[in-house]
Amino acid sequence: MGDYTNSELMAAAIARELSDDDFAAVGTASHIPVCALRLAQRTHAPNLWFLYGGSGALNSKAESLVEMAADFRNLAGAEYRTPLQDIIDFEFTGRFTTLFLGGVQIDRYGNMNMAAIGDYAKPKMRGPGTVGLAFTASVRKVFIYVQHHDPRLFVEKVDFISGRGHSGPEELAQHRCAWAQGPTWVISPMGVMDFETPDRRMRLRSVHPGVTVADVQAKTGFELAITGDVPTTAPPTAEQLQIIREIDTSGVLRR
Amino acid sequence: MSLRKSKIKSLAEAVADIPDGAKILAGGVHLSNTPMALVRQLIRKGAKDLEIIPTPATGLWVDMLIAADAVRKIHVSYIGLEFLGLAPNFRRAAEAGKIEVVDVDEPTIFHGLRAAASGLPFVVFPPIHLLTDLPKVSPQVYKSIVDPFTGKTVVAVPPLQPDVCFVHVAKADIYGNGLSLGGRHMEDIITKASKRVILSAEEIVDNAEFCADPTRTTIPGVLVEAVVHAPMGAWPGACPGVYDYDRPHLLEYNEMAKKNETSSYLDRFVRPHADDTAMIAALDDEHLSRLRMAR
Repeated sequence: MGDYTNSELMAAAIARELSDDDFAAVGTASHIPVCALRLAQRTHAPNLWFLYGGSGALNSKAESLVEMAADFRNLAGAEYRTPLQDIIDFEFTGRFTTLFLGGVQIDRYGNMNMAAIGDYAKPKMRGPGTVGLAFTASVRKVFIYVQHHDPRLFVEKVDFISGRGHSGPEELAQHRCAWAQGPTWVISPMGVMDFETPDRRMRLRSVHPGVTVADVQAKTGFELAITGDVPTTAPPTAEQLQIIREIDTSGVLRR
Repeated sequence: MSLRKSKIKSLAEAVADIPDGAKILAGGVHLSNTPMALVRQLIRKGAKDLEIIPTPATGLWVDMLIAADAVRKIHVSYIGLEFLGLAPNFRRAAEAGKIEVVDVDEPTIFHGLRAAASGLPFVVFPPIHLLTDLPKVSPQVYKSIVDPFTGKTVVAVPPLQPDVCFVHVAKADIYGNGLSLGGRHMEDIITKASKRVILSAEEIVDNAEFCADPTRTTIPGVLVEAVVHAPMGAWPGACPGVYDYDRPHLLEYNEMAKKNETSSYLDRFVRPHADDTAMIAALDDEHLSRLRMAR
């Protein structure tokens, strides 16, 4: 790898998918997405807005990336302190264009589980809970973001649906909000995935530098769709890297 | 002419008449403004069989009460320790079937409290929850009904009314007015939803301070039953604008909790002291002063 870390690469890759008219929101453990959102604001998307999780900060300009989204220091330089009432209203009505979500299990259709692994009545692993994942069906797009990539996380079928991906098109047509497009991208430390297949199965969009298609497939518990040659995720440009490091003053993405 | 009554109580007095089995809510988001002093006093009192109605994203206080064997039932949206990961005692108790878990989520808790706050018989959502497994595992919460205006399927969820809620603020006066320096999260909803409201505050200030700028008051005293002076009352979490979270202590808590040693933690930090004043006095003052913000 060059003179950037995998986390910095991921931040640059996320930023590239964000648009100038986005209104995004992140939850816990969000250093990388927050860095990406601020990078996008300072490059191609100056009109992007974002909510920094439990701190309620809109357009945070905190002087470093902190470990806790709910940290009130994220209010530094922000334009509004969003109470939970507003956050939930934005989630139900699709004002949020992009919600960053994850899970303890994710399957080939982008269904996400945060509740329990194994038999629900006697779980092997009790997760933290469904929180805001049901809003996958009411925000415009979902960016699935995970910090590791293995077959226990990327499974054939989730044991519990907290956030609904693209399985069951009839039910989706019936109950999903008209504007909602569901999970759109997945980023992991190994690559970027999307759902641009006829039956909306997860497709490998790019592999990070130094990672092969076979590597990603070996760490994924289902068969990834492949269309043509899978490109390598573009590394951050010199300009992107400089801005990333101006945002990440404490170097959490360099650890 | 009679005098206006002070609502000041000691920690022990404030929780004394909370019965076993009560529905309890402690405010705050994640590790910010969690009323830990009041929670610790519930543990000292030996509370039992509590039904926990948490805010939609929280964990430490619930994890501690579970370890103290004080919890019978819990409504779950997100119970975790934020950047530290899963809440170990919650996880163990849920996996062992020792506590009754009602899986819900953020809007269900928020709007359940909203319904209780506003006196609504229930609230209605667009049918997004029908795309999740929540209605399957919590059928008592999610009821599909027909929208009488459009004929479409919608989902009704019931009100959530805590018997008692705890809210921690930076400043309060003796009449129950409160000011959170981190701004308002959902304390307005919580305090209206609950039958009883107990406020803990870092500092008790003169009523004139609230009257000088009423637009900054985050909790109106009219909703508050008792006010407790509790310096470091959100420790080891943060009190926005007053002190930072105690990272080393939280790491220690988490390590002990993962090893199923929270009972030793409570025996070391919480139970030996009659209340939080004695507990805080026994902590390293220099360490605590490093957490405090420059004022």
